[in-house]
Amino acid sequence: MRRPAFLPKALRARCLGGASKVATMIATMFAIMMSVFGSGSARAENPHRFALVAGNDQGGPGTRPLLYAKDDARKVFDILTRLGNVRGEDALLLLDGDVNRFLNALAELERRAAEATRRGEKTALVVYYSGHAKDGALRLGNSELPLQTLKARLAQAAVDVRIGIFDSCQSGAMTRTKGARKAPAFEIDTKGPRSAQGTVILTSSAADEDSQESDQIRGSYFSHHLASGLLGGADKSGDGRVTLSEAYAYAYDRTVADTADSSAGAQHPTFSYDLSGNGDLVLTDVGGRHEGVYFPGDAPTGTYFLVDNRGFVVAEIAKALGSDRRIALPPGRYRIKRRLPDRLRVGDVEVPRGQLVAFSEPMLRDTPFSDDPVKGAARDLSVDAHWSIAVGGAYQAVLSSPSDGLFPAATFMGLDVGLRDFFRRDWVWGLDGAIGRASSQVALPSGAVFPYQFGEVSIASSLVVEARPHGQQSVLPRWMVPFVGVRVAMLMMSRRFDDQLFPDQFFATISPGLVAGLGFALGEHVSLVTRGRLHYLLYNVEQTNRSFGTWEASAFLQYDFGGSQ
Amino acid sequence: MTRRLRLGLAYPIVAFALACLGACGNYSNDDLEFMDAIPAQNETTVELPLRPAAVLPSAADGWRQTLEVSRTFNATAVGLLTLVDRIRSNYPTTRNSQTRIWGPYPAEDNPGWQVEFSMTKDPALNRFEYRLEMIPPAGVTLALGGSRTLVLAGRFDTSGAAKVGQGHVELSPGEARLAGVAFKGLDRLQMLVLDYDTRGLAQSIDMTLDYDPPADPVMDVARAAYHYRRDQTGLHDMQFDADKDIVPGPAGVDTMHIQSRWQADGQGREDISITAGDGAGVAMAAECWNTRFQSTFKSLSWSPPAVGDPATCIVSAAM
Repeated sequence: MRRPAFLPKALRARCLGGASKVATMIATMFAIMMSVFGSGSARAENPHRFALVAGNDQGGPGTRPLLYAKDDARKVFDILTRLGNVRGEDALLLLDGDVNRFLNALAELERRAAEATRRGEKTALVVYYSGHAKDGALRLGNSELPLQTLKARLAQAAVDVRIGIFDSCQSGAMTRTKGARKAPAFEIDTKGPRSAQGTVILTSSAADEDSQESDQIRGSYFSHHLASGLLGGADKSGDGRVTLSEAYAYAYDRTVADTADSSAGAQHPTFSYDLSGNGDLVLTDVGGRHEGVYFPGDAPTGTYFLVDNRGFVVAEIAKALGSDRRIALPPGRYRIKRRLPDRLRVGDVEVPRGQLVAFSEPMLRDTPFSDDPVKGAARDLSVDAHWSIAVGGAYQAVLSSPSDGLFPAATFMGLDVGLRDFFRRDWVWGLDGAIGRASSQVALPSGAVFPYQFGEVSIASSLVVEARPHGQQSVLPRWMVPFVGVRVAMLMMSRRFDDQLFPDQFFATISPGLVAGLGFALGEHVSLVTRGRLHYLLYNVEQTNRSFGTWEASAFLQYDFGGSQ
Repeated sequence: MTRRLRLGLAYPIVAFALACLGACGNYSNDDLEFMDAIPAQNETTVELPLRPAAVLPSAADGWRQTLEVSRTFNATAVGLLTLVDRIRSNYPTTRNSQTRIWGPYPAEDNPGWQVEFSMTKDPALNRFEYRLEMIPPAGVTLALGGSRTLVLAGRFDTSGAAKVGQGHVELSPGEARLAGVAFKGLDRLQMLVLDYDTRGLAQSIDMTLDYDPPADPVMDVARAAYHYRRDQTGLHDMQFDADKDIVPGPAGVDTMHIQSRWQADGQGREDISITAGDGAGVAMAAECWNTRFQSTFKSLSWSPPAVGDPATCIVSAAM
């Protein structure tokens, strides 16, 4: 299903965001046995569940901070503990933790699971990770956890069922071996005589793909759709229970559809399924909750967005005609949106505690697109702020050069320091300083000529907006970043006359101007910045004020401490 | 980082930018025109007949006297220029289309007094005229009345090149001195007139000093005049006239005339005579010296015969 009206405004890859990839078309594989999921899950023994949910916005050197990895982790943690039959004391939420903390938390859950096993209970361990991955390792801040190490560790865990869900770039490396599939769904053996045992791993993207975030849905595509599915959107069987296979199939379809047109390339979730016995697992029980919004079968078909009072899309539900959906939401006020070709249908619904509110079409009203409640990111992006530094040279001249050599053209050496993504994303607040010199002469009306040495020091502040593609379609390649902005410079100019015929002269003024240019990424952190400036210079030393325009062309080599991509 | 913190950083930046919107400085081409018209030391002083490495203890008396006269001349000129040096080292405080004003500044060594220098440009004549006036402190009355006294007035006619033109300066410190102003090195001076010409390769400077009537005419001069020329070949000519009671007699003050000429290589001569007064036509002296400033010929009218060979005087008596 494609939703062109809901293409993301900004995408963020959960890795370095390297060269864009053309999405590879998946092989058609629709041997799904959805009809048997319900009975299978119903028969399965409900194990004692443990969950480790980790989210990490920071990926250490060479990565740009993510915006929503922790939010995704919180969302999944909430769903698992509210609907996933994971008791609060058996779930651990680890935010911005390092590898040691992650492994320690895992060990703690394994210890608890072993105790449950000794009590004769069946056990299941869910490990969810949302964050950066690079070069075959999860990046938890500045620490790394190789995917294969984690996979081996999971395989050794003393539990009956191990479920690993990894939302990170190239996380498909976890499923590369042993039956890994990049497919819409997987078959489940529901006829086994005993409870399931083994390991299932779901990943947000293939081993050679980026996993992407969206500012508009304020999360990663995969986790967003997985969560929507776990809330009830994936309950295709309508039994009020969302199984592992249902959730995966739901997340797969929508993740691929949403990322198909992104410049980073389509993102294909993968799975590795190695379960024996009755292998279908109920991940969430939305029917038993009786709290949320119920979409009856006769509700119009389409994609419904449920937005909470903070503006977050808590669920995105693909509703087919004739099928009903039960979306398990915590009490609160929600806005429901459905997009039509020419307008939006928007309405509010209040979910009381312990009640399931039935949706009806009259609850919605027509609304122009400008009032779309899903407007994208409005969060504080300061977590993304980082510095850059640049050195280079410039040539500056007066646009209409005065004939008497008042301000000669000069060459400069400069240093720029930029605080990037501080005020807003892609905004760069810059401080720059430059020193320049030139040899020139004054020709007086009397005919007298006085040679002098000109010097200038400028200290300036600028605010520049960069046009980075962030996964959107872009005319320019990703390694080329145009920018435009404003600048205010404090200019201090002086000149020293040869033979000291006259005392030194100086002039200081504030000069406002415009700046525009192109940055060319030369590497992960290094870029060549070419820039032009136009400035206004008010000269008011003599009786009559004079206005000058100055232009400047410069080339700088820039090091971006947060990465130039 | 919180929104509040970001705004907290942004406000001071904006405030700083607003506070600095004004421009300031002395970066001016027009000022250079005015300042170029103020006489500089090298334009109003004499190139001394001196090469340090060549000085010998046995140097000619004529050369020593020439050196002394030239140094006195320079010291006087420097004393004059000291008054305007502060102007030369500062840029105007007030600018109008054809006028620049420096000051008023506090007058050094004269507490309470202020100095103001003003220049006016006459583009039609390529002429700059300037005045240096002193403003007395409250309670001080000037002899000629008014609120300020003119100490120095001058003009400069430009001729198309840096520092090239004709200049005229008049220094009249009398009224200010009467009101209590102390001028270092200009005691008894009533009027100093300086004319200089820097056009072409030649240079000429004329300076006349009129003093208060001396209490001791034997020791102090009543009037002195210098006329200096340097031609294109590097030949210097310095003529000095001083009114002083040299020869006792009824006329009182005599006029002594000293004329020195020297070449770039140091060779020169000096001729001394009394042209007016009781000693007129009575005393005459001449001396020539070589490149090592040693006397090669010396003739004193009151002490014949002459010593040396007059043929060694390669510098003529008249330019």
